[in-house]
Amino acid sequence: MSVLPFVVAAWLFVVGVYGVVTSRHLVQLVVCLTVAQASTYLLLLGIGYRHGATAPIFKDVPASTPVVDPVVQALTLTDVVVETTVAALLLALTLQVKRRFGTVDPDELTAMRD
Amino acid sequence: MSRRLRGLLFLPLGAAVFAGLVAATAGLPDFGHGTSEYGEWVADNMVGARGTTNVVAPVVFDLRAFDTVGEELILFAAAAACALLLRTLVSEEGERRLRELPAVDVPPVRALARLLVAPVVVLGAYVVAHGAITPGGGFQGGVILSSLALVLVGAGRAALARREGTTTGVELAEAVGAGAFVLLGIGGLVFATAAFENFLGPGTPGDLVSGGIIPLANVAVGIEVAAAFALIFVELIQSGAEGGDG
Amino acid sequence: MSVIQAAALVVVALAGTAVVLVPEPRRQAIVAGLFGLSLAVLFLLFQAPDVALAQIAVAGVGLPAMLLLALARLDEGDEE
Repeated sequence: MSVLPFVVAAWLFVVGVYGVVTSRHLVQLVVCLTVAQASTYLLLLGIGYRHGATAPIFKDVPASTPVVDPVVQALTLTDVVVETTVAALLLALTLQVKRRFGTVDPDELTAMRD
Repeated sequence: MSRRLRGLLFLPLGAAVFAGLVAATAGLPDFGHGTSEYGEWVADNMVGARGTTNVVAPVVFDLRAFDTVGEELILFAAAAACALLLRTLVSEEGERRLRELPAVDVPPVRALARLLVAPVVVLGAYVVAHGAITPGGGFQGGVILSSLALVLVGAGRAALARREGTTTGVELAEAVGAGAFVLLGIGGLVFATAAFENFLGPGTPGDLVSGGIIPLANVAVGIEVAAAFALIFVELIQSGAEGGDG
Repeated sequence: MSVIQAAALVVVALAGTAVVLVPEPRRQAIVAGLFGLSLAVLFLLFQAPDVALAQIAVAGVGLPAMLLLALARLDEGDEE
């Protein structure tokens, strides 16, 4: 039971990549990529969790309360916002692809290179 | 290779990757029982050393500020590239159709959006300002503030999104935010010994002005994130997918 | 590991699978928003309020808005 967070993280990654591999629409590809990215957040926070500890905010608890690891939270926090911007960039690329090739189906795009 | 074949081929490979990942995490300490000297040191010392009650904020903006400036510049570059790509899509035909598109005129939506503008601004500013004290900070508050672009369109002010001055103003705000953060780093070089070193005093934990440069860094990042997301939204609203020639 | 955390993890896994299996992009945008919000609840249960705040803002507002706007632009091209 104690490996459940890591199992779910691995599952999200594999499911996300499966979605990328079998996508029919470039926007679907971007969303499945988002799911795969979520697995990294889960992994980081799973590593940082401490049993019986509380959030790393000392506003209303004494400064000696055990807290979860704040470093991994710092890493995940900036990650969440920045990767959404990268997804926006991918969406802009999708719009360009639609304009140039007339389709957003990944299979048809591969065929056009021939 | 057809899509179905790809999917079927992926299943055994995916299962193998899944098993490999789970096996790799078997070496980690049990969930909830890990230890981290760095994390414990930060949790024990940051309240006194930096005067912030939210100990994640000094990790983001003080101890690992180089990391954050790198991430912020990724955000800046992605938003700028997004704007660049979307602007090449605006054609004459698209611009004409954009001007003729009616603004949102469903009365309940307009009324709700107008009511939402002030609370969103206050909430976003509150989250940004209290980054050093409570959960929040520049990144979260910035995204909240950027939703103003969508709320204003919902309030029937779509013309705001289409005007030339809007993108210029948003880009200016984004540049100001990114530049302010970098200037804070240089301030660390000038007023203290290292870049991004906290050159203002820690202050009292729990006060609005505490943590040295951390509230200032929060404001800079908040402006930048809000402007970047607002730029993306505005460019998506402004662009058209059909091009002039191919 | 408490029961609520285990339940939230299972919900996240199911939501992630659902996001990948939804066929139409517009519906997928909504399911992606729900997946993001379920992730935010999980982050709260892992005692990470900062990350949960960022995830709520991004997955509740940012990502679905971007997706739906992009889809609207793509369909506009089809109508021509």
